[in-house]
Amino acid sequence: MKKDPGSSAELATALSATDPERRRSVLKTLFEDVALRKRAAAYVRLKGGNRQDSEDVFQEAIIVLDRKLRRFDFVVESSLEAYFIGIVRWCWFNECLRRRKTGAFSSEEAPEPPAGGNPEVEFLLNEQREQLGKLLEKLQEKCCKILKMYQLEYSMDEISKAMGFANSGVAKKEAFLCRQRFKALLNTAPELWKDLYKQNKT
Amino acid sequence: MTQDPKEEIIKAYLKGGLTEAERLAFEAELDQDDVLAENTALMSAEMAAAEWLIAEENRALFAQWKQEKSKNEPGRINGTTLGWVGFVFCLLLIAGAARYHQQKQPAPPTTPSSPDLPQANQEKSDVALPVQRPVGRNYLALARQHYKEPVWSTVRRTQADTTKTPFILAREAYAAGNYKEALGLLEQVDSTRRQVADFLAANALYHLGKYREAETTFENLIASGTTQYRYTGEWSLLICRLAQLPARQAVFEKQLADVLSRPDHPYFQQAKDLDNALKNQ
Repeated sequence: MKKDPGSSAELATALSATDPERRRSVLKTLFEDVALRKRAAAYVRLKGGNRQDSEDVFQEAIIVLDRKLRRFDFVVESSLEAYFIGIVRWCWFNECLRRRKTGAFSSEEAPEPPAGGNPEVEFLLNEQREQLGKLLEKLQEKCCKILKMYQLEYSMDEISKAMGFANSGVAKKEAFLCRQRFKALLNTAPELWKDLYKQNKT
Repeated sequence: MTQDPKEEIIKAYLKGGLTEAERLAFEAELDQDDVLAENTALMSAEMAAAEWLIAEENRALFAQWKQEKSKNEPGRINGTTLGWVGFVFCLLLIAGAARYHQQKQPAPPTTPSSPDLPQANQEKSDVALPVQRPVGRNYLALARQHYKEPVWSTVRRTQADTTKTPFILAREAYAAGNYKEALGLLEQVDSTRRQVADFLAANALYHLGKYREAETTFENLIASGTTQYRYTGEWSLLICRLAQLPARQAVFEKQLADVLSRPDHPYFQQAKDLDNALKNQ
């Protein structure tokens, strides 16, 4: 039976949930949404992509949708499906740019970036993805988990329970130390975020 | 956890939670205050890093669901599968013919060192694990450290390689780091180059962080009886499982123990080094 992914507000609430099962369930509903998948595949194939491309773009679009709904305080004004296809267009356009194959797009067709988002964060996630990944490899798994939970708005009590710490005080201390470690790592790669600093200054 | 009194407003700014007037005021302040600008840039990077980690987690979930879905739909056969079935059928016919001609010769003994390939669905078996790999380790970094990039000069070349076949283009895309493009091109490679194409595809999937899919592709490649990519494939398979620890511990431990029990294995020393690295991590 087809499950309705729900409105953007409902999705945002579920995706922001500190209950990982609830988050997973919503993501799975999106991942198994046949209509969304078909529309994404039709678009990518129309623009010269293959089966693998359409699957990759579909998955990437869910990741972007998850981030946009959860991260930024905004509500999708159009239908969720239309918004999702907007993301698909944007993802495939960026992929074509990366491959230097934008022939399928005329200049008028270049899609707009999906609404909601911070340019600095998006810049890092799109343009500096590789460097960011390499940097995170140097961070302890424990810190990666804490960083993730902190960004998912877990309370210190919830982090404490999930990580098996004695209490929320320990979680707070660990979270602070992990953020400090990450900052120290960032300082070893100033090229990664120095551009952001410049962007803010201009 | 909040240390900087301005942290909340920076966070609100980055999340788009400020009103237009507040945002303009904050941006004006950013122009004037170097420390604020630096802290904002750092927090952007921290936010992006967390989003990167969440995206990786999502990708792993997608790979898991995709695999579960394909297991639950064994009746669905696509074109590639059909091609493989035909290919295997032809191989069986050839093997049958060869066996008919050699039927008076005794059957060769089974090689004791034939690779023990733990299958994905065996991980839930009651394997007694010699060690428990804790979650607080960066296995992914260890995997990247021990991963061996394929040496392409050893790839068998044919006359056809002088033209830009999909395979050559895929290799070029792979060499340029365009792994998705390489995967797309590899779909067009004909069956005569299936093994090398699968080997390249598995490595491309690995680079894209699709460890579960890379693992399956390496598994299938080894199961196809390749001699050229057997050992490198086995090593890469182990690395894919390492990248997915502790989730893939059962199959990882079994395979690592298998390589360590075979000093003649070309990757024996590398396996020992990996084992030591895991103990010392």
